[in-house]
This record gives sequence, structure tokens and C-alpha cells, in this order.
Amino acid sequence: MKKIILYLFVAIFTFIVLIFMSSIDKGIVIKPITQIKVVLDAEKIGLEDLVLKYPKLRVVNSEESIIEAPEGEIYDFRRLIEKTEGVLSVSLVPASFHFSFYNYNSVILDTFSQYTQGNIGEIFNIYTQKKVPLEEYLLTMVIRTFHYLVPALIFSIIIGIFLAVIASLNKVVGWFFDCIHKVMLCIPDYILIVILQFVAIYITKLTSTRVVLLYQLNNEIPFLVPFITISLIPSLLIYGTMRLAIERELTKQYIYTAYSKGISKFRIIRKHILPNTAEDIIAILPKTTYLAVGSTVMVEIFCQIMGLGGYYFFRGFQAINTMPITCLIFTCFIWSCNVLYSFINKKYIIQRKVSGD
Amino acid sequence: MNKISFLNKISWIALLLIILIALCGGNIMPKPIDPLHKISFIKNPDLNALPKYLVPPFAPNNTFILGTDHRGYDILSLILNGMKYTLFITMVVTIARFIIALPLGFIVAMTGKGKRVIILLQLIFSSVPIILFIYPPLIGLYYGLGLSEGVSSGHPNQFVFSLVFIFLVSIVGAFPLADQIHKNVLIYKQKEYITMASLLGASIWRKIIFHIIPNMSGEFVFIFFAEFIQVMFILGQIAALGVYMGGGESISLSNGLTISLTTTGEWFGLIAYSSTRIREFPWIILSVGLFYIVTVLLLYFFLNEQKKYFFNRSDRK
Repeated sequence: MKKIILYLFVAIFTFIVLIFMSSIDKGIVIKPITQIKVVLDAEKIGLEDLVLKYPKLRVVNSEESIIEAPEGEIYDFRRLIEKTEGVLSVSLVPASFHFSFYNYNSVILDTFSQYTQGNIGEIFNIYTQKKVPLEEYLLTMVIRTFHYLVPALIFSIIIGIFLAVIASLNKVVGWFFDCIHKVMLCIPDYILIVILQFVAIYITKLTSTRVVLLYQLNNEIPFLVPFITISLIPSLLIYGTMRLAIERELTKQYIYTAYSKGISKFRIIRKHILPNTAEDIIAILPKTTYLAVGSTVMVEIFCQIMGLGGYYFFRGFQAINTMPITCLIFTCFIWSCNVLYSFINKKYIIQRKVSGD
Repeated sequence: MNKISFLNKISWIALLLIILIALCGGNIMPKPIDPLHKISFIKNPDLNALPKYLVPPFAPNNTFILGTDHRGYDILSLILNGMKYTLFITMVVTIARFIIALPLGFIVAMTGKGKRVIILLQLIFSSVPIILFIYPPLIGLYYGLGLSEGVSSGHPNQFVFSLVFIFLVSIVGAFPLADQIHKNVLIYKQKEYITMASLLGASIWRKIIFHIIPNMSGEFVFIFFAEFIQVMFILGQIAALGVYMGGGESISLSNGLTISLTTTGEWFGLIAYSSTRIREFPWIILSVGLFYIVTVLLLYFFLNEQKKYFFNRSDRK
């Protein structure tokens, strides 16, 4: 009960911290951009020649090659100048800015009052140019995200334990799996998604049929790429933990006794080692859940899925003050899993205490 | 005398290789990457084929082993030149985390005060993926300050953004790190020599500086390297979403879109540039990814070998 109250407290604090952090950029007040910096090939064109060619431009700083364009026409002039012969590079000069605490505080207060009134935020649909309440999409997004997050998490636990057991049964296989484990730990999730997408594209080109869906198409959601991506990193973590735990247990006296009785290695692992390493698995599960949620966010972004993690980056939509709510859902999911793991640990796992501890 | 294993020596060579390539990358890169060597277009080598002229980016070929970017710059040269900036930025963020976490961890462990605050903050920042904490403010700042237009690294806006970037990435990782340091220090606090120092009237800071830090120095090295790799992962994730530190330039494409490109070849800038162009120009992100993975692999290898050496030496003592 104490842990539930603690997690609830943490979830509320996390929500508040998220509101404060996601509003930082709202306090920035910036003037419109009107200046362009150019790098010219002096043999072909000079700054004065450029201004002569485009009379609306004005030289602001000849030493740094900064010119000014009329407000509202800066992007058109940039495109024109880039195509001019002798121009090596063009970059916009950002305008000055200041941080307004008044704006920042106003945004935060508005966000809090919005939530207290039951408004959990809106999403701006760029195609229809309309603001839509988040409630209209929220349930679909939750179902979408959890329909591959939960199976992937469960699969990662099973496959991590299974591969660790296989690796412990055979030295050569164990060495091979350990090498793959070390290499895979170095691959970030977004590069893994890229590799999976390439493999899928390559298979599609070979077979001339769509084998794997890579991106969300209307209501068709990819499953395989998110499933593999989400399950990979947690399974690596569980594999590593289980390997160490199994190796540790294999050196214990009761295992030697079991060997001397003629029990096979597989039976020893199944009947003796797995129950005694369950505590190690439970200890690592909160971290694997956290990693799985992190991978979910990345895969939804890369596969353009309008889920809890990916909607913020979804083409055609702009989130307005909805990030804290969706992050709160992730927090509640992580903490619910942690409560479940604590319950399993207390109820079903043999607590080992050596005398003198 | 503790014998250094062959693998340990290899790990040191690997680390020196990373540092050497980072420092000399600008000198060993095969092609220059300055504005005078930009390629706007080249004649199609196949005279009978269409189009008659080809525009960059070019796929990997005999001239450009890893291909080019939109400016015609060699990707291998960009990666070699950008390695030092990448490792430097990662180092700065890691050191910033330690500057926040170390004193916090020590004070909480030695005085017992603030333990609940540290644990609460550690739980908060471990409950949601870090990317969701830091990406919304960073992307708002990135566009608000006009950095998406490719601003040079010397501009005040870039400087302010870099400060905020380092602060946010450091702060979200500092509290879990402080909690880890606090737990490690608690173990050393139980040692007899610390008890003796307390009995002799040593102050908290004296105990920390003269007793705990010297004994924990090996662990700090491991924690530092582990944190360094962690920061590389996080900066890579943020870059994959289009946000990076360090500035660059922008170019307009024929379809009217403007893209921001790194001028130095800094890896996170390359990842930010190429992550949205996976289907059209896959060689860019794959090349950067390969160097990234190999660097992290070598760092992990070095870390594991030093851990083995350190713990073997401790066991013998």
C-alpha cells in the first residue's frame, strides 16, 4: 500500500515537472527574421553586385556579408540568392530574442487551469485547420500503442530467459550469444529501426509484394517493426542479467550435489536455477519496462504511427499542451507494472536470506 | 604485480585509436569539406543515359566511398572531421552531469539529508523516457530561435540554445546519477577507516576528499564511461528527431524545402539531417550509424576490460 501511495505521489510530481519543462519554449519572444548572411566567391560576385541585382536588398554589415530583405519576403529572397552564380552559401541570421517570465508563467497557469476544468488538451489538424480535443483520439492512441507494447514486453521477457537458458546449456552457443549480445547493446534503437526498415524494403523489392508494413497508412498500423524494436533492448537486458544469474547459481554447492545425483543440466536449470534466479528477473523488470516504453516512442516516431508516443511528431498534427497527459499515461503504465512486479516478488518469489545478513 | 591481460592492452589501443582519429580526423579526411568544394552538379558519366547532369547527394561510388550529402561533401570526410566535435559535446554533457550529481550524491550519503528528495527526483526522471522530458522544450526553442535555418555556431542564439540543451540533458540524468553515487558512497561510509576518521574529528568534506574519493576513483572512471555512452545514446535519439547542437548552414532544395546541415560533420548533425531521408539517401545514416556503433562498441570493450582488471586487482588485495 505504501508503494502505491509513493508511486501515485511520484506520478503527480512527474506530471507537474512535465508541464514546467514542456512550457520553457513558450517564454521565448523573438522578432521576425529579416537578415541573410552570404558567403560569396569573390571572383564571380561581390556584395554590391548582389544588391544591384536585387534592389530590395540592403547591406547591413559588409564585413560579415549580412544583407537585409523586406519583412515577409526573406524566404523568397533566400531561394533567389542561393541560385545566383558565385553564391557559395546562404543562411538566415536569427533575430534577437528575450525570455519573458510573464509569458512562461501565463502558459503554465493556463495549462493548470485547463486541466482543472477537465480539458486535457487539443490537437491541431493541419489538413482541416481545426483544433480537435485530445479525447477524440486518446482511446484509439492508447489501444494502438499498447497493442504492440504489452505483447512485445512479454515476449522480450520470455525470449530473454529462453536464450539465456540455451546459452547456459552449451558453451559454444553461449559464447556466440554473448558476442551478439555485446554487439547488439551498442546499437541504438533508432538505428535498429532503420535497419529493420531496410530489410523490409529489400524483401519487398525481392518478392514484389508488400511483406511488412513500415508506416501507418490511414488506419493500417504496422506491427512487426514496432514489435521487434520494442522487444529487442529489454530482451538483451534480461538475457545479460539471466546469464550472470545462471552462471552465479551454477557455482553453488546445491548444484554440484544435483550433478552428483546424475540430474541433467537442463533439469537442473529448470528445477533449481530458474526458481532461484527469479528474484534477479523481478529486480530487472522495472528497467526493462522503462526501456520498452522508450523504444515505443522512437518506433512510433520513425514509423509515423499516431500512438501515445508518436502523435506529437505525427505529420499533419500539432499537439497543443497534450504532452503532459500522454506522458502521465506512460508513467501510470510503468508504475502499474512496478506494483505488479512488487506483488509477484512478495507473493511468489522465494526470498533468500543468508544467516548473518 | 598484477599482470595486464592481452585484451586489456587491446582495449587501451582501441581507446587511443578513438582519441587519435578524433583529433586527427580533419587531417586524414580524403576530401575537403569547405564551401569552395561544393558540388552543384556533375555530368552523367554514362553519356547515353538520362538525366545528362547529376545533382548530389551521390550514392557510394569509386570517388566517394560512403557517398555524399546534398552539398556534394564526402560523407567519410564529414564523419572523420565531425568525430572530435561529437566526442567533445558528449564529454561536456557528461561532465555537466557529474558536476551536478557528484556533490549531491556525496552530501546526501554523508549527511543523510535530502535522501528523500534525491530518491523522488530519481523516480520522477526514471518514470518517463528522457526524450519526452527534453524534446518538447528543445524543439520549441530550436524553431523559436531560428536554428532550423542553419545558424552558424558563433551566433548568440546558437550559444543560448547550446546552454539550454546541455542544461536539460544534464539535469534529467543528474539525479539518477546522484542516486547511484549516493548508494556507492554509502558502502564506503561503512568502512572502518571512515569510522576512525570520524572519531578523530574529521569533517565531512575531509572524509570525502581524503578518504572516499581516492578509494572510489576506479569506480568513478567506470561510472564516467558508462555515463558517457549513455549520453551518446540520448544525444543520438534527440538528433534522430531533428534537434542537434553546434550549428550549420541551410540549403534550399529544388522542391522548395529547406534543410539544415552541419558544416563540421558532427555526427548528431548528420543523424538529424539524414534521419528523415532514410528511403531516398540511406547511405548517409547507415555510414554515421556504423561509425557510431563501432565507437560505442570500443568504449564498452574498454570499460569491461578495465572493470575486469580493477576487480581482479581488488580480489587479490
